[in-house]
Amino acid sequence: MSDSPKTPPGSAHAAGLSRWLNMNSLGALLLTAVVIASAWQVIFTQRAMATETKKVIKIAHWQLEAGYRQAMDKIIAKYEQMHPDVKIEQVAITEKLYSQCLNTELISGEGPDLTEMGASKMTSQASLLVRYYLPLGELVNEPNPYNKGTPLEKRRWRETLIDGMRGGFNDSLQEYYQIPTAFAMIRLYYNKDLLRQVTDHQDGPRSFADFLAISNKLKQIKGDDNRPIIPVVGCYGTGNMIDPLAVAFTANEEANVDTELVGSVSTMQTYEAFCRGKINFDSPRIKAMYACYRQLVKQFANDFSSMDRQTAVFKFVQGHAAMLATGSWDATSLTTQVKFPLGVCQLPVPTQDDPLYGPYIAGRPNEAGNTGGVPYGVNKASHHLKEALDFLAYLTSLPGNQEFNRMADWPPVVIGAQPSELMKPFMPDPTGYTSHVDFAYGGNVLTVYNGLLVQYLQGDIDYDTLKDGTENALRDANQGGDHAWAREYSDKIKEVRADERTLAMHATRILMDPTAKNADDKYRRLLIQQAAKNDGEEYRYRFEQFRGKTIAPE
Amino acid sequence: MSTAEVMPQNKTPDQPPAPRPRLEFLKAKAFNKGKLYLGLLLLMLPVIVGMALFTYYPQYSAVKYSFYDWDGQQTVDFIGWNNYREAFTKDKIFWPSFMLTLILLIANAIKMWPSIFVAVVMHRIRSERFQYIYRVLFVIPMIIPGLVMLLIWKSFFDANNGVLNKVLNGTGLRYVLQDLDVRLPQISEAGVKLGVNLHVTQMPGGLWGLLMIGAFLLSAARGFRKGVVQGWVWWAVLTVAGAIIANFTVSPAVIGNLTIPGYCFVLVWLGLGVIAANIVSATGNNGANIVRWIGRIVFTGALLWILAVILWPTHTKAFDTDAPNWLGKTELIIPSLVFWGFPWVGTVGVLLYLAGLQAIPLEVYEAGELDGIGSIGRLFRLELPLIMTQVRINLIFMTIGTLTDYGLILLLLGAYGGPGSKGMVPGLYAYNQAFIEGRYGYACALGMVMFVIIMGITILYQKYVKVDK
Amino acid sequence: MKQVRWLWIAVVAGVIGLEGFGSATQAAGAAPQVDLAKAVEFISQYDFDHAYPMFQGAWKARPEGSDAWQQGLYGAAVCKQQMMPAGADTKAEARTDFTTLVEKTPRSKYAPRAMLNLGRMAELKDFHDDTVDLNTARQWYTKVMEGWPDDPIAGEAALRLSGSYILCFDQDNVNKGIAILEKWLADHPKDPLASGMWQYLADTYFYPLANYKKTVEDYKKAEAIGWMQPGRQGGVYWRLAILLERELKDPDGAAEYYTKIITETPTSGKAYESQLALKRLGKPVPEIEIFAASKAAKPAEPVKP
Repeated sequence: MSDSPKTPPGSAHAAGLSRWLNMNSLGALLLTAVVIASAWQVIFTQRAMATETKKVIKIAHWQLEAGYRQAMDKIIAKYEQMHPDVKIEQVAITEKLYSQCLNTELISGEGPDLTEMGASKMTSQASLLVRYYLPLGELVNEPNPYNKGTPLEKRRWRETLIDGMRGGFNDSLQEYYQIPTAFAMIRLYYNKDLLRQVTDHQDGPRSFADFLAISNKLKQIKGDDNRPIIPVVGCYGTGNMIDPLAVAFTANEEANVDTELVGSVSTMQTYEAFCRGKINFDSPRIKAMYACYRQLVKQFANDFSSMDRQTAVFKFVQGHAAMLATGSWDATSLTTQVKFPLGVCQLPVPTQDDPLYGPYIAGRPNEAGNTGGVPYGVNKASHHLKEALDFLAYLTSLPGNQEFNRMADWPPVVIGAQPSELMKPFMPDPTGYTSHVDFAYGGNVLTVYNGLLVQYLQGDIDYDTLKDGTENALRDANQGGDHAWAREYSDKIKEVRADERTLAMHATRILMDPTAKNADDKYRRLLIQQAAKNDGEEYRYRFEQFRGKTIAPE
Repeated sequence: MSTAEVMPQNKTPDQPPAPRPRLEFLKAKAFNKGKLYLGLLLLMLPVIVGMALFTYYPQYSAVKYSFYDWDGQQTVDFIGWNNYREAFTKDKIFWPSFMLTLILLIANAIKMWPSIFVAVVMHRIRSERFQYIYRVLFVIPMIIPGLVMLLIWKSFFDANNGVLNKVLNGTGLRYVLQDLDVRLPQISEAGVKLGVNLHVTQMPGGLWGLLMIGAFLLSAARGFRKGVVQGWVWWAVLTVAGAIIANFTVSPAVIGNLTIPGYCFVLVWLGLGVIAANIVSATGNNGANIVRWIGRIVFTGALLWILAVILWPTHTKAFDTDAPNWLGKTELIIPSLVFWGFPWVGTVGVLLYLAGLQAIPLEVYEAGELDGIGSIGRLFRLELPLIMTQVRINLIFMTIGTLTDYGLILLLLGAYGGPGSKGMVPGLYAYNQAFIEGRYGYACALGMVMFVIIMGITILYQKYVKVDK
Repeated sequence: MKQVRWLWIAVVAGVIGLEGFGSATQAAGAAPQVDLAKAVEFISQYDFDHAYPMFQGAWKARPEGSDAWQQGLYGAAVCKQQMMPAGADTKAEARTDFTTLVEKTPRSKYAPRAMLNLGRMAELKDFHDDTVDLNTARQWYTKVMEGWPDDPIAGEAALRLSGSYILCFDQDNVNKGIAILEKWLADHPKDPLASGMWQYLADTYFYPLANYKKTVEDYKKAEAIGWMQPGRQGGVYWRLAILLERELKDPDGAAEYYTKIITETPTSGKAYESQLALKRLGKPVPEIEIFAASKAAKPAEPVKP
């Protein structure tokens, strides 16, 4: 007879169940279910891919702004109608993760067929670019078949883009590796309702003086948070509105500073001119420029230096700020979010008629030299190269680019392509100047200057303190302009060596690879480009001329 | 049946097993150990491989590239010690950036204490249910990712719509700050005038010299006993560190000109301290008490005087409007970075200290009760000494974090450290050099310098933050 | 116990197997049938590290003087020359390999390129403490010019030789360099690099010699042949226009180039300023058409492909 205590009937079964129904087994069950679901998804997808009769190509980008993906879906649908044997999948990845995703997929050989170029080293570093991307030089020198029947029919593909496809050309490789599909421009968005309260017109600030007058009146109005309206906010700080002022005020200094007659002024040339006494902070023009900066920044929120993009957009959308300086990429997002009529105009820049600054002004900056953006490259390992190239050709043809960008509300990049109404103000303006003077020469000078500039713009320090601080930083023996020059000298030598590697690569292919196309041409172009650099020695010689002492590369 | 039939004939139950030959024995021993090691190794292999690949290899890479001029792409040039030479002899931003780190280090050391007090309070809750509830409440914020926390704090600091300014305006604290913004600079100015009038600033080291007198008198009062050197080292380190901060934050004319002859004042006061210690040893205990009291008065007085002068020296006008610009006004940047994280009760810290407190045996508390110590005495004489292990661990992590962290400043102030680069710390500078200037090799060298400094401080902690059991 | 023993044996056998496999793979790689095409592909990806052992294996395994031997030796030398990080030892090895190639096969198709590379190694500072030896570089360039006078590579050598003087930037050396290149161009007007050479001469006359008349002349010669980078000559046109207007007082000449900026390189960024300059000179001012097309009143009808 057993000595164990009597157990109630049925309890043995219950004991067995409760032994299994605990947290551990529930966890194991959950894990098992998730693994099965995941495996099923993979198997299902792979089976679908294996039985897919169409040619599937993937296009990856990071443009998550409203409107872009929807427009891409529509243009893809249109293309698929024309090519029923092709299926295109759009892969939109957030910019922060784009680089990691792309790197992994390219290395594994399973990368997208078309990828937006720029966020990843794979798409910019020469040695990686040649490894993973298809050179497009031969193709872009032929007409784009999708331009047949248009005025661009006979032009080479690269000549059909407004920027001449400069946005797709890699200088060090002397080759095209990407094709831009849209422009990206900065403008001033404004709240028509708020502006109506203070002006008699609805087309935004017509001049810099008008902008200041409007801003002063806006500050008298209180918003629904019972705080004064902020006249203007910027998605990227004040830089977008200050940079055009720099051109407006100092383009005329080009004759003084651009001794190389290249049509632009570099920080290096500015430093040389500064050392020669041709330009400095005592110049009335420069003083006026900084005074204008300060006047402009007074129209921003008092925490402008720490305001980030999201906060700026939020304030504008909520009606707490009347104007917003940001790019064309935000247009669709803003139109869907704002509850007021939205206007777009050029960034306000003083003209020669300006009552205060007119005598110092050359003109506004021109945008003719802007290169196209949102470029796409073709993955060398694509299983459907022909189809991928064909879609890219369609996307950058006159009809395709126009239609896509009108749907996405982005500025088109092809000559003759008409932008949507919203994008008309964003098309590049070719009138204006290109050069501007920039004293922040060198990393350490830039750090000091940026810190002082914010303090100056906020009114915490005066102009003399900004001037002294920047000039002292420039003159610093160890980390000033001389040090920056030595670094640029060193960088130029490295550039020559990097060119030498590319030349060696081309030369080896010419000698050993009978299939190497156009290697001769590329070699010759790069050879001349490299020879003109004179091993960087021009930097040494220039320095000796204006400083009277020699310099060694750092 | 006889027992001989039951049991084997050639063995009796009491006999030990026959000894094995030595070689066999060694082989078996090694094999058993090998079996154990193999099992352990196989279990640890994934972690070892992961650590080697993702932790040690990048560190090795950083050490290697610190000797190169590397632009992050193809061009790699071996330049030997040039990066280090530049960091030590030419760089005018790197070393001053340690000043803010030092201030944050002191602030973070003070900010550790709220967690300790909260842990003690939670430990003393009698109801286990409520203790559990509070513990859960403390753990819940941990699910918020760090980046989100930083963004939330950034919105707190927003001048126009931030919570901080709304609280200050709503409670009237802004007016208090506005008043302090007027009064404290006046006190600072008065302190400077007093120092000039009493010729204190003309002494070697100025006000810091006065502090050092007090410090060495306190040390000297202990006489030449074993262990006294440790105390002197700490006093010297703290006062010299403070002097260096002052040298970079306040005009030398106010504090005393800390030039090379000024730094030699350390030797002067060291010498005076030695003399004082000799006198004390000769006079016995009474003399020691007098010297100790003089030291306390001088040290405390000098410390208060210095704080009054350097804490709020200028009238910032930052609180004159109802929207103080916490991240845009140069003078408010350091207070913002110090204030960040209020009320400074970190979940990890609280749980760590709570675990330490719960490990204290009840007998210790009973013994304390018998000795008649109250709740305050329990805190300072029982609980705190017995959780010093946890405090030390946290101190080390806090130091490493403060010295290396720059994410907060990058998010709040940008890559250049905000207006006047007031928020520049060594980590941010290294980031700047790498990702903005493209000088990856130099950034690696800066990282190596920081590593050596952190290691030195960690060794100091290991040696001098002792667990008093 | 027994299972663990078998586990030990399996682990040891596995390690030996892997080692053997690795060695066999390496041995296979070193076999005479090495894929040089693969090595060239590595070079086209800038992967000199992976290409080097393939080239090295090839030239060591092939009979001396054979085409494959030359290819392998040249490839190995180029890899050593271009590997990163560069150092004295890799450079010395490259130098030795190129010299061997030149000595053993002085008339091979690789020889002139090898000589040029020897010159480049002498001219360029490849690592931090490297020294520059322009005289040695010039000797090699001269050898190429003299050894292959009718080959396009001689033109490259002439350009390099000229450049080795010009980069000194003192008057005498610059003039020496110019003389070399001008003589070459006079003797070889149809050199494939002629346009680029004239442009290089023009740049040199501009700076440091400030001889603007010669600058303009030589740019025009380059233009007559055809720019080496068509579509990117905007900067050159601007320089020409400014020099003609300000220094040479030739308003008609200046107007010609201001007009070219607008019509040929409207996106160079200087088109508007060129329009202003033409107005200033009282010349006809063309429109910047490339942007006008996008501002048409009515959107163009999309054409169905």
